[in-house]
Amino acid sequence: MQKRVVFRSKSLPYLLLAPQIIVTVVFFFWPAYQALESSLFIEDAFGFSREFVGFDNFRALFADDVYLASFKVTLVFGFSVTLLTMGISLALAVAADRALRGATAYRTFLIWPYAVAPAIAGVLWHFLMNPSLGIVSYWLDALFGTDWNHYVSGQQALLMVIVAASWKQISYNFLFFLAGLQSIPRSLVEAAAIDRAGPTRRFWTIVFPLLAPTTFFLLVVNLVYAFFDTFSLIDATTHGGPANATSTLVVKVYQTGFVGQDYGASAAQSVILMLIVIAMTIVQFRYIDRRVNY
Amino acid sequence: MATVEIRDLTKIYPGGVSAVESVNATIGDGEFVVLVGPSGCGKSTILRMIAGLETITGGDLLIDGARVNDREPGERDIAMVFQNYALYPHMTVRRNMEYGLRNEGRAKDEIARRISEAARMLRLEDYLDRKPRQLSGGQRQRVAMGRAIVRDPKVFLFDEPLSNLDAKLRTQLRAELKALHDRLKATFVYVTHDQVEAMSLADRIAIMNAGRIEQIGTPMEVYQRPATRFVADFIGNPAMNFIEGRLDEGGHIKVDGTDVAQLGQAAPLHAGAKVIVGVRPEHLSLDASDPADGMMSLSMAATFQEQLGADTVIHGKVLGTDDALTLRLNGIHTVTPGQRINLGADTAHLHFFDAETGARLSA
Ligand SMILES: Nc1ncnc2c1ncn2[C@@H]1O[C@H](COP(=O)(O)OP(=O)(O)OP(=O)(O)O)[C@@H](O)[C@H]1O
Ligand SMILES: [Mg+2]
Repeated sequence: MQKRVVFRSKSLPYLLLAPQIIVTVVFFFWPAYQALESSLFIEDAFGFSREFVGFDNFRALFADDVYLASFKVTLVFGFSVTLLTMGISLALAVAADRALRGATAYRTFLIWPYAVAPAIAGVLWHFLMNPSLGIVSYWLDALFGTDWNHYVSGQQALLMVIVAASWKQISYNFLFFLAGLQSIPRSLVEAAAIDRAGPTRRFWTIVFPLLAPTTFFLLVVNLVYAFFDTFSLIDATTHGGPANATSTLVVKVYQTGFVGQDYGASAAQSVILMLIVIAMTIVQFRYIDRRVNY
Repeated sequence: MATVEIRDLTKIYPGGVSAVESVNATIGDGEFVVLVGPSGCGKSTILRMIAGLETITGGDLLIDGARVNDREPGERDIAMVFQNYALYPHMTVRRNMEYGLRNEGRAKDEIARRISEAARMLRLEDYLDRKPRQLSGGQRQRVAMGRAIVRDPKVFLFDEPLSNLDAKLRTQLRAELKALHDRLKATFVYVTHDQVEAMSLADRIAIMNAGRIEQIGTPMEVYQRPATRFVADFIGNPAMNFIEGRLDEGGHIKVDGTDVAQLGQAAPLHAGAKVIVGVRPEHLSLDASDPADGMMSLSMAATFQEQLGADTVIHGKVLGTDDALTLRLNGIHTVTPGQRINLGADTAHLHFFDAETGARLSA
């Protein structure tokens, strides 16, 4: 039996939907429209005049080596964060699943990093890895003799934001992996044990394939996170530097628009970002059925 | 082919639940032993200890004479069929059956041969390339059996493999399972809570109660000579009737003042002790108005009947008491509520139990 709510008044449903629609229009559609529009104009820095230039802004972007480099940075950053955070979370989830089926205290502790605001997470790692004060950079020096200075080394700076961004995302991934692991019937793993599969083989032939839906979901979520949701973290830690080494596409939008005051180019970059988001969403929806591969 | 021996097997789960208490049993080579008992009595726990899926708290487990307490499940040369089938959902039927053989590193042609043999035996040839979710419950169960068969293990373990199926399919698969056992001549340990399944499949039945085995014997032994009141109650459908009696000075058992049996000298009870007299519903007969020698007579007040076609089961009470009484008669009978029925039972079919301990009294 399905219960159906019937509205007597025709306007009530619209009234109930209105807040959500208003929020969506004001905060999503309107800015998106504005970005689309501005990407076709060149505006002077004071906003007094603007000139229609068609796709010139886009052409200029793809001729700009700095912009193209930030594509590369974004890809390296995004995939590194995704791999690192998923690898660590999965390992933690497997350990937790094995050690304490059902115990929640451990789980609660692992959620905490997720509650930390991105900028604060960034600053936290900033302090930890500060070349002169940070404890981690001190350890690196003491243990490996590494001369850590992310103000100077682009690679080290990139590594630092990757670690910070991954750390922040681990708890989220961990929760999903743990839930995924706990939904795999115990008897499957037991049957595999009787079928002479050792623990490693059981994991790769039974558990991991059955986790595929979770893994795919997290893959998309993490890529989206790393591509689009790490602005405040990077901005608070490295400002995209040194020498644009940590300047991902989102950071670049901000720098071009608000620091460089080149609104047209910034808007064009936002439009490109928008297209990437749309493409990723389509991929996710297209494969959402196939996610379940059994 | 193998023997399974359990000695003083004990399981205490973390948290202190004592699930199995000092159980002893020897299962012969090629024997089909069924563990039966009410829910929570520890059947699955014993099976899982044999499989190596639960650690053994105390006692020894021997397969083919070798102590295997500390061996991994994969090293015990057993196969298990689970209640929920536990088929690998992301693998085809063929892959499911191959999985164990691949893990053993068998040659390709040998794997193929064994799979096709098992598939033929279980009529699964047409389903080898399907995924488990594309199969019916009965087919899934057969795949689970196939996965066990191809391994050619020493011991087959079954944990309520038929309980997720409907009654008709259950009966059919029961017959197939029996045929399979005759064919493989392997050692089977089978857990169920269904006593009909136990009776029809087993070479020997072990009846469990609260973590202990109450009796092990052939189906006819446990039916004809239940060792305890619990076994008497559990085996047989409808369940045995129990009537209270008393022992007098001469070692006679009296029900309602009537002498129903003479206990041997070995009776461990003093005069005046309570005795439980058991009689199966199918051993009660109508019309004992003139009790002949060797008959116990009894009157019942009927309450309702269940007409099963071939038989009629009449429920009621022992006249003048609150003790329930069930009677099973051949053919079709009709009673009116409150109707008085005179019954008789051959004293050879009576069972006597100590009211205190539940132990069997008569020889
Ligand atoms: N993992 C466990 N932890 C603690 N107690 C358990 C565990 N598994 C089973 N038990 C307890 O051990 C006892 C025996 O359980 P078991 O599963 O062997 O019963 P069973 O005879 O198979 O019952 P059923 O017919 O319901 O399957 C029960 O009291 C149960 O609650
Ligand atoms: Mg059970």
